[in-house]
Amino acid sequence: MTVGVTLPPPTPTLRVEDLNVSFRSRAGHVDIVRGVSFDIAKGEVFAIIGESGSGKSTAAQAIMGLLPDHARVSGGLLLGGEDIAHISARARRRLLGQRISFISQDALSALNPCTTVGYQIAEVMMVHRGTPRRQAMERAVELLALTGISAPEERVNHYPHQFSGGMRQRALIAMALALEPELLIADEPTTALDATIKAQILELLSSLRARFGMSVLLITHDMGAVARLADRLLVMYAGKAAEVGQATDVFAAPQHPYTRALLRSMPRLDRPGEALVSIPGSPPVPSNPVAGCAFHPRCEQMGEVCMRIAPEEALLRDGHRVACHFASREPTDA
Amino acid sequence: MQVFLRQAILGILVVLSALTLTFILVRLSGDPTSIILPQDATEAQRALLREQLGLNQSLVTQFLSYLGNAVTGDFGKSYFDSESVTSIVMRHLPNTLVLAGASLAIACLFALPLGVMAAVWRDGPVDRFVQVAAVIGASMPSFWVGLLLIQVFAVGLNLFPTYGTGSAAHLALPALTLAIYAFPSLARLTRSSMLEVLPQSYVMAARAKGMPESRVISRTVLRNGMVPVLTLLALEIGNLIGGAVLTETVFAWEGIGRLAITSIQRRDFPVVQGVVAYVAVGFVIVTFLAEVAIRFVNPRLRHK
Repeated sequence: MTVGVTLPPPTPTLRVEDLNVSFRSRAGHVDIVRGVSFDIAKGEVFAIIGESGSGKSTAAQAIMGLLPDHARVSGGLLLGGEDIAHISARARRRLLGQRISFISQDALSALNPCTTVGYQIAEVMMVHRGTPRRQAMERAVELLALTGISAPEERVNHYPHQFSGGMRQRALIAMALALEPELLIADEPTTALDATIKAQILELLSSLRARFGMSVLLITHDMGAVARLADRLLVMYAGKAAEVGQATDVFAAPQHPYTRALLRSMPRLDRPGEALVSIPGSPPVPSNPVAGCAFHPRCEQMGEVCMRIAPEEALLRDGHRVACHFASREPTDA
Repeated sequence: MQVFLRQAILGILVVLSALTLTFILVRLSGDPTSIILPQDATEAQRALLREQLGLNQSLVTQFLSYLGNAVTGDFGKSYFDSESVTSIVMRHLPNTLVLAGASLAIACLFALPLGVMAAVWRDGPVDRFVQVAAVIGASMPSFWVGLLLIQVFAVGLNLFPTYGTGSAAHLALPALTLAIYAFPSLARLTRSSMLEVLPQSYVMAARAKGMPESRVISRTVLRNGMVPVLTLLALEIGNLIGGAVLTETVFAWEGIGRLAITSIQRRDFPVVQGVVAYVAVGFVIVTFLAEVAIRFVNPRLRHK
C-alpha cells in the first residue's frame, strides 16, 4: 500500500447533482426530470440515451438554463467547479456560446433563415468577444473549413436554405466551436440526417472533440451513435437514470432490463439475420406517472416489489450505477 | 427576376381593369349634362354639350380614345373648369401623400413596438392593452372617430382647427384619425407574427449562443416576423392613398379622396377616371415595392 499524497479527483467539466425539472400545467406540476446526477470529465463524450419524452432534452435545456418560465428547476449544476445553477441571467448568457455550446437536432430550423450562415457564426465572436466583424467573418471561414465545408469563402455568405442538411449541421458545429467551449451539448445531432451523412457528422464530432479537448454531452436515442462516440453513458427512462456507466461496460453487460431491451432493439452488422426486438408497450406519460419502478409495466423481469417501490440507484463498480431491484442483487458478468 | 416580370404584368392588368371598371361605372351614374346645365336647359342645348364632351359617340369609341389618351398620361379636362385632370390630381395628391405618410408613421410608431411587446410578454398588461385597444380601434368607423376628435380637440380643447388643409395643425386630427384606423390590424398582425416566430428553434439557438435577449428579439424574431407585416403595410398605404375618402371629407382635407367624392357627385367623368387611374398606379407601385422589401428581408424568397 502506497502512502503519500492522495490527489483529489480532477474537477469534472460538468457536474449535475440531483437535477429535477417540473412543468406547471393545469393539472398541477408534471415531473419531467426526476433526480438525475452525473459527472462529465474533461474531454469525455457522455451520452444520455432515452426514448422521446424521457426527459433527456429537458435535462439539457435545464443545464443551459433555457427552459421556459413555467419550468421549475432544482438541483446542483457545476461547470468546472463553479456553480451555474444560481447565477444571474446575464452571467448565464456569458456562459452560453463561450463555455457551453449547443447543437440541436434540426439544423435547418436552428439557423436563422434571414441571415447568412457566416454572419451567424461570426455573431458569436462579435457579441461575446467584441471581435470586429471582418475578423469574425474570416474566422467563420476557417471554422467552416475546419468542419469540412468545401469552398468556405463562398459558403460563408450563403443563407441556410442554400445549404444541404449535412452542411447545415456542420455549420452549426462550426458555430458551436467558435469560442472553443469546454462543453458541447449535442441534442440528437444526427437524427435528421441520412446514414452516410450521419456517420460523417459523428466522425467530425469525434475528431473535433479530440482537437479542442472539449467535453461533449450527447443526447440521443440512437444506440449506434452512442456506440461510436460515447465514453460513458446514462440511460434515461421516465425522467430518471436507469443505468449509468462506462460505455464499454454497459454495452458488454447491461444491468437494467431497459438497457438490455434497448440494445436488443439496435440493428447489428456483426450478427446479421438476428431479429430486432422492439420493447412492448410505450413509456409512461409524465402527467400520469407509474407507481413503483416506472419501467415495470414493460419489464420482462418485473417482480412484485417493482410495482410498489421505485428502485434506488445502486453502485456496482467503476461508477457503474443501476436503478433496478434485481440488477443490484445479481452480480455482473453475464 | 421572373417574379418581378410577373408582378409587372399583373400590375398592368390591375390598372387596366381599374380603368375599364371606372369607365363603365361613371357612365352608369347618369348624364353629366343634367348637372352641368341648368334644369331648364333645352334638349338641343344638352345635345350640343354632349357633343362637345364627346359623350354622343359610341361607348366603344369613347373607351378606345380614353384608353389611348390614358396611356400617354392624358386624362382629358374637367367638365367644369377645363383644367387638365393631371394637374388637378397633382394638386391634390401631395396633400393625400402627406396625410397618408403622417398617419402611417403614427400608426407604426405605436403599433409595431406595442405588437412586439405584446408578443414578448404574452398575456401581460401590454398584451391586454393592445388587445383591448385593437378591438376598440377596429370597431369605431373612421368618420366617427374624426368627428369625435374634432369634438374633443378642436371644439372642446380648441387645440387644433376643425377642418382645412395646410399647416401641421390642420394635419394633426385627420392623421390621428387614420392612424387609429390603421393601428388595430397592424398591431395585431405584428403580435401574431412575432408569436409565430418566438417558439422557432432558431430563436432558442440564438439564446443558446448567449445572444442578449434584446438582440434575439431585434435580429432574429423581428426580422423573421416582419414579412407579413410588410405586406400589410403595403396594403395599408394603398388603402390610405385611395381610401381616405371619409376622413378627407370629414376634415375637408383637399386630397385625392375628397376630390374623388366631389367629382363623382358632379359627374365629372374625366376627373373620376383620372383619380382612379392614378390611385391604381400608386397601389401597384407600392405593392411592387413591398414585394422588393420582403425579398430583401427574407432571403428564402430572394433565391426562389
